[in-house]
Amino acid sequence: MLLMNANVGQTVIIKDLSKANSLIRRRLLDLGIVEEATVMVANKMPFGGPILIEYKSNRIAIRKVDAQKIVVGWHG
Amino acid sequence: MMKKIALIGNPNTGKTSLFNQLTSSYAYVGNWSGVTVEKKVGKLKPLVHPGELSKYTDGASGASGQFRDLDGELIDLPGVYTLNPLTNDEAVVSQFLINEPFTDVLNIVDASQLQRNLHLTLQLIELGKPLVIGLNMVDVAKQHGMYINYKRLSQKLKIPVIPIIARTGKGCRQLTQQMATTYTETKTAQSFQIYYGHIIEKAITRIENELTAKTKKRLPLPARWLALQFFEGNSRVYDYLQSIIASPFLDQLYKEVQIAIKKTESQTIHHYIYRKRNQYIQSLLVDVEETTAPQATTLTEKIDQVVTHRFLGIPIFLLTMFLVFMITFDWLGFPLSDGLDKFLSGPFSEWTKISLTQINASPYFESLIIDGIIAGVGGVLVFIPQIIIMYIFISFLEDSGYMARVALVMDRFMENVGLNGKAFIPMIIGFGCNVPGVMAARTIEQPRERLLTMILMPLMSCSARLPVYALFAAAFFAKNQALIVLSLYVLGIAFALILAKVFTMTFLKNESSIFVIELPPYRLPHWSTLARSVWDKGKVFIKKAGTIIFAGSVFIWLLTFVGPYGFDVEMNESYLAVIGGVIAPIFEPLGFGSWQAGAAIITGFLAKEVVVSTMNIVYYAPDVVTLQGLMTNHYTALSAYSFMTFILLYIPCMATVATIKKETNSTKWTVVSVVYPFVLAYALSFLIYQIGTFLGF
Repeated sequence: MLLMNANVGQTVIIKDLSKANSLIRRRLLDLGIVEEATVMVANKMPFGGPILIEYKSNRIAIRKVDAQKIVVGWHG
Repeated sequence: MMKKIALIGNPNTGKTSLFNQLTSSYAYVGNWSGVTVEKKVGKLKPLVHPGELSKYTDGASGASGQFRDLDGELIDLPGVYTLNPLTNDEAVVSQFLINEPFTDVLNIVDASQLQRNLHLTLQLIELGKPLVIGLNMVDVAKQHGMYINYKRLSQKLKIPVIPIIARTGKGCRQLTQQMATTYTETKTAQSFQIYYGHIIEKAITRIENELTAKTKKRLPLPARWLALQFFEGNSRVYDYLQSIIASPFLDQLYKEVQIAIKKTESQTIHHYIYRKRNQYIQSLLVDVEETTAPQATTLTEKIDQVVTHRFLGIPIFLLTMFLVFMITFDWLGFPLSDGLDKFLSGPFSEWTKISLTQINASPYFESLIIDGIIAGVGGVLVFIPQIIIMYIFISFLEDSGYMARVALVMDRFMENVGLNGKAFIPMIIGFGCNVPGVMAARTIEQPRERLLTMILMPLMSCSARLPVYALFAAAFFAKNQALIVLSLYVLGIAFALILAKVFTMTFLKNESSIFVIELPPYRLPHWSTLARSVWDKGKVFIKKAGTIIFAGSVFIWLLTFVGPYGFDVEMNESYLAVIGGVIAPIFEPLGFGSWQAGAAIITGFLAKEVVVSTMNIVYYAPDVVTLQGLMTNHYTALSAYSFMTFILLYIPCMATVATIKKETNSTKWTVVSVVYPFVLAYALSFLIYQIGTFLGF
């Protein structure tokens, strides 16, 4: 599954970040979001706007195109 | 010896609050060399107030020796997650560590985000300088159900850890005390080291050996730190190493390590080093972090449910901005400015006149003081209340964390014009002053978007343009002042967006747009931090009144005083009338072809406020109200609006041009940012005036 397809409120596990833009990957890494991290989709902006994800009370927003390049798995 | 302490920490950890708590005054405020990133150096507050000192020295308990004063400076550095920089802003930290002398490091750590913050801490430990950790937001961590055993953390890291609440100042005294002792007593023997695996360790040794072979100089920083940063990909450290070791050696070694790590770990070096540190941090956290209660919904989450609501987000932002304008102009700003104006033109001018007569000043000198300086500088100073109110709001929005939300809700919209939501933050700052707005663009990662944000900045209506609007709006649109002023701000933004689209479709294609932003927890800014930040911004304006506007006023007065046919001439015969008259015909089709308008437009390049100074002087107006009365003879409502539009757009002020030049490092783009606003201003004012006249306004 892709991060973009997860629903708001859903908790997922990051599986593959290798396809994501290197700049985005670096920022996610700064915040501790790496493969196997458990993140929650906190919000999605309308009209294909950014997606807000939460990791250990860090909230970070990325664009839809970038969320489409991140592979995630079901939690639990 | 004086201490120079570098204050380093993650973004949004309360660094500014701590800086304000620990320092009493600025030792230096300016820019880092080569870049316009703000450099703030503060003088450390004395540990004990002089009055309290006796309490300790009188007591026979021997406490006096412990409370020695710490003579030192605290250097504020941009917030970073890691020393390896991603933006120009972040690169300042590495550059500082390599190039500038410092004695200690103060690391501010967010207790509620310990894991993330410790990555930076580990890199600072590797620096080998005396280090103290200020463990901030222990209160926030508690709310999250986390307790940090700071004593154990201190033992494990072999670094002093002091719990603090920077917002209120709790623990800050102990922190200063600790910094004073690390210097004199524990010369911190840092035996602590992370083992990065044999591939990396062997490579570090090779760099260390190469460094000792190539230079006899004592390195400013440990070779191990330099090597590790190099392998992580820190470009500034690479540049530095390259000045000692030949780059082929470095590149070759990097490649070898890269291949070896890829083979054994199937990761990049940077990622691998991150993992190694993370493993250590994980094991550390097991010992020091205790999580008790499951988290309840925090206040931040609750606020975000409303202000970043899918559909309410944008209307809430627009409503916020609308309220800001109404308060700044109608509700609070205008009455205050009026009062100040009455004072300056009434009692103050009278008093000055009497004093001047008493000292037998010549009539020329009196004219210079009253008609030149008080009219010119005073005419601008009366708008200080509105500018200060504006700054209070901008600082509040900046410090509270709301700006990041604005970036989030506006991103989808900004994507359409080839920018990202983050560009909105410099633009709002640009409403205060374009200069820091241009500088704030450095937080944008993508070079193309950063450039675009900078060259569009002149369209953001800064507070210096505000006196011009206030003057005209009160004279011609008394009933709808705030709305008229708001319309100009909106006009500026609208054209910034249209031009962004035009620029991305023509000059600046081919580079994709990127958006990634962290939403920090909301914080109610402490009044003292807010006051300092407003003062820092307002100071610039007041300083400008004393320098450029003062000099401009004297110069303009002189030009009105002297003419081709001698001194003390009629205003219409003066040099200013001649100069203004030359360019006046150009503005005839825009509705303001008088020499007075021409003169104001030329002088406005110095600083936009000078437009008002000039008008005050050329119309012989002793105060703003009289000036407004006089102006109705020279302008109609339509030509006034056309003039305001022109002043809004026509050219960035001198200081902004200089900043754009420095930040873009490109003459071409600087010229573009001066030329296109003029063309736009002319075209738009032309259309407004001609269409307006045609429609019979």
